[in-house]
Amino acid sequence: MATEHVHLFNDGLDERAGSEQPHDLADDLIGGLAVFARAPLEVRDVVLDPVFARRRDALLRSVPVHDLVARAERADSGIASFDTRALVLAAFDAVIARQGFPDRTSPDQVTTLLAGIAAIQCPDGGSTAYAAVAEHVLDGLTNRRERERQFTLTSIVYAPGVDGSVAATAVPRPFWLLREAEDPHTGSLYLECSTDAVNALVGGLDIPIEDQQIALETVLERQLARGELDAAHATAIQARRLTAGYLVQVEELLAETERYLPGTDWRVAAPRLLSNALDHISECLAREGRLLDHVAGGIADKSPADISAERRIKISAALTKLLSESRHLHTQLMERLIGARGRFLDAQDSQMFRPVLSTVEFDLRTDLLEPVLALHVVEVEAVAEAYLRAALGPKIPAVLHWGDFVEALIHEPRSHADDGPEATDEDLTFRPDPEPLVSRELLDVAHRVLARISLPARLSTLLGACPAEDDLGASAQDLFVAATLRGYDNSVRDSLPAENQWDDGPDETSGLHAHRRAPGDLTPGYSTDRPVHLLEILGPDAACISDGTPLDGGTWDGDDLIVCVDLDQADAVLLGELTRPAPTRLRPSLRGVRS
Amino acid sequence: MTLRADGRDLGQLLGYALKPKTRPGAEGDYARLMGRYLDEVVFREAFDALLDGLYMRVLHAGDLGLVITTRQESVFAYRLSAEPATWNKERAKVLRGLAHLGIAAYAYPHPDDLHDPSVRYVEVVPCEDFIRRCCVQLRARADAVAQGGVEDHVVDLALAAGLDTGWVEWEQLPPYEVGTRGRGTGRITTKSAAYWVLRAAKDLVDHGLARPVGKESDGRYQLLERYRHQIGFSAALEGYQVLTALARVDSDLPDPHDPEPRNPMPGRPPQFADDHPAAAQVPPIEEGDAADTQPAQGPTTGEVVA
Repeated sequence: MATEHVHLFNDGLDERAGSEQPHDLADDLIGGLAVFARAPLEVRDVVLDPVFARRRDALLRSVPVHDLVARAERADSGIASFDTRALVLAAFDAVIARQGFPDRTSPDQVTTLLAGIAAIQCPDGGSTAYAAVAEHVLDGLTNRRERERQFTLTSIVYAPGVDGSVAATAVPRPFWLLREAEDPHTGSLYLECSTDAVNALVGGLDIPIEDQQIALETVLERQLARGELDAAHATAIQARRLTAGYLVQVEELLAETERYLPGTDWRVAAPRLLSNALDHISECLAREGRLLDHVAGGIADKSPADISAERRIKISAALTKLLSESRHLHTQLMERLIGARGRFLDAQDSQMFRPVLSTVEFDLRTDLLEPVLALHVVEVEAVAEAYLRAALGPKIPAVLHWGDFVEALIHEPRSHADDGPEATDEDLTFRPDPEPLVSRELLDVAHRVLARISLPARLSTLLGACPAEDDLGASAQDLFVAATLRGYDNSVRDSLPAENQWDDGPDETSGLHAHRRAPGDLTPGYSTDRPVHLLEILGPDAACISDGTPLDGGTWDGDDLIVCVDLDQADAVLLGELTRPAPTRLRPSLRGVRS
Repeated sequence: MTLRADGRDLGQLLGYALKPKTRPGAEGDYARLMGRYLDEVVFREAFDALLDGLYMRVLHAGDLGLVITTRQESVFAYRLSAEPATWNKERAKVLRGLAHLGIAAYAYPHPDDLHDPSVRYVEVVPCEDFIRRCCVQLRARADAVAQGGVEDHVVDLALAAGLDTGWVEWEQLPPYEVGTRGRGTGRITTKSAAYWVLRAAKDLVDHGLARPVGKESDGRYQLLERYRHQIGFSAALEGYQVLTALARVDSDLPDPHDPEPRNPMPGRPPQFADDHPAAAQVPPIEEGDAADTQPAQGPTTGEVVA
């Protein structure tokens, strides 16, 4: 295992250093360097060196940082006096500190932190400048100038040519440093740091993460053994950053697998990575357990005497917290790794039979927007309709609530302006009373019909009893149909008319809610200066039921409803205690008949 | 579980799925039902069948909840024609549709971006400017075609459409105009292009696909993860299929019926890999940069070693 190699390497150095012939090692090193120094500097040797390529890419990843620093240092930027590089590193540290934990760092937290550091850097700067420099750093690292896209820089790649020469080709190198992501559980925003940023910018190295991790933890263990708590604390912080980076690396592999399986190498590279990572995490968890025991077991006793007891306790506590958090990260990583193969198999299942069409990648501008802009407007509408249907997702259709619908047609809804604070008498101005939408005359006609027909009665009977001579009769029929359907709408509001949202509440002057009127009661139960409520026609308790008998004749369609005085009467009809009224054949429409 | 309890759970899950602003993390029942959907094959199949009967299907199931999409026949399908419009209704539909397409192209300017979970933002005025620049560039392309010697299928579409093209419709509107009379005083008027971008952004907010950032007057919106799923896995394709059905498809555009599509390997190449198409011009790399090269391509889907 790699850990063993590190131990062997360290032990080997110790042995050679402690041997009686230390000059052997020095001689070897000097000899090696001399050989290297004598070798001619060949272009081919330099550019084709694998380490050269890695270092070149590591340098490339720092370009956005240099760019944002250069922009901040321009005289006209207003933030030239701040140390932007330090703020960049602080932003990375703040994000990595909580990466992999439930309470990940939010953009607002980073902005506040950076503004605080900026205030220390330049005490006379002012809060606006502090906020501006913090935003500048965060915008630069998330590439807000290019609408949060990945940074894409060009790198020259070298390869041996056919005739022994060196060929070079420019290739784009996409990468990201910080990005905002959405927590799927809560929808809140958090920041995450890429492996590239952790590896090249924060760690300042570009060697495989697992090697760095092992090396650092070995160093940490030895520092603890020697009682160097300050150094151990610093090393533990660095080790945790690497763990966070490792977490990102594995998560990116799994995300890519779920997105497009053939784009990943699950034949060799991915299984090897997961296997190594699992071994590594197991070792980390065991090692961290040992270290925690070590710290808790009074390692402070072995510290040099010049460190005060209070300071030792403080560092021990910080170290314990750090190691506990690292352990949490490792546990999380372990969970991801254990589930990785399942996610891979799921991805394989879902992508194996995926139609070719759905794998076509769209450039939304050149493949969709521009051709659609060039279409005739009628065709634009067709494309937009299909696009929006899929883009906006399902839309719950409005279910018609007959009672609300008819009431809304007859009454003007109360505006929200009415909900304001209550006006005093002095503020009140009297507006003209609204014109009732149903005339008093029409209501009188309806009530005369109800005075002649005793309930329960069929709707057809009520319609047939309406005057036949003119349009007033037709309007009365319309009113009966609407009122009957309103009565059929068996909502709670039927028995509690005062709760109707369009109702202005109990009106003592009208007496509508003060006493119950019987259907056909010709005493005006309404005020002539307010719109008519449908419940005033058949009475507030009226209940209409259907026995499935259709309307016969005329122009109306649907069930011939049975209009009852109240629910008790309706129940009696349904139970057979009262005889069901007989239907009446309707006459042709009265609409348009002139007297 | 009894059939009755299962039926109730299915109905409840459908109810949650139809409320895009609800998340399993915030609703215990939703989380429980999502767990059933993900873990119980029979329950999942029953739910998928239920959706199928309603002409819908699941686009994504996970921490985000269920993201579902509809077919044209569905009673739940969004219909642009059903939207109320206070102004010229036909024109309003076209402008609204173009604004929606513009927002998507603005937020995801490259195919890879649809696979990048980074949060994206849309600002009304820059987005309108982006659409307007597309129109200007199309006009320039049309001029180049008119001068001869250049073939441009997108311009051919415009020539066939005559004067009533989408871009003419958009360009005729001023970019930004504020009302000075009546109730609209101080607001962007419907007769300016920015209004339609703002309207489209508000549509997204209403459907749980975006949320405003800062003050309302800032005109800045954060696109949610759900939006990326809807666009990347459904809407772009749906819109494109209608576009291709118009039978005047650009030969440069991806053909949905081509068994070997233009992009046989969708998505970005592995990061920092030297296998970009541009790199294919050089002979196989054996040393040097080969060290940082990731495998060019893994096994195809059918050959995956499980």
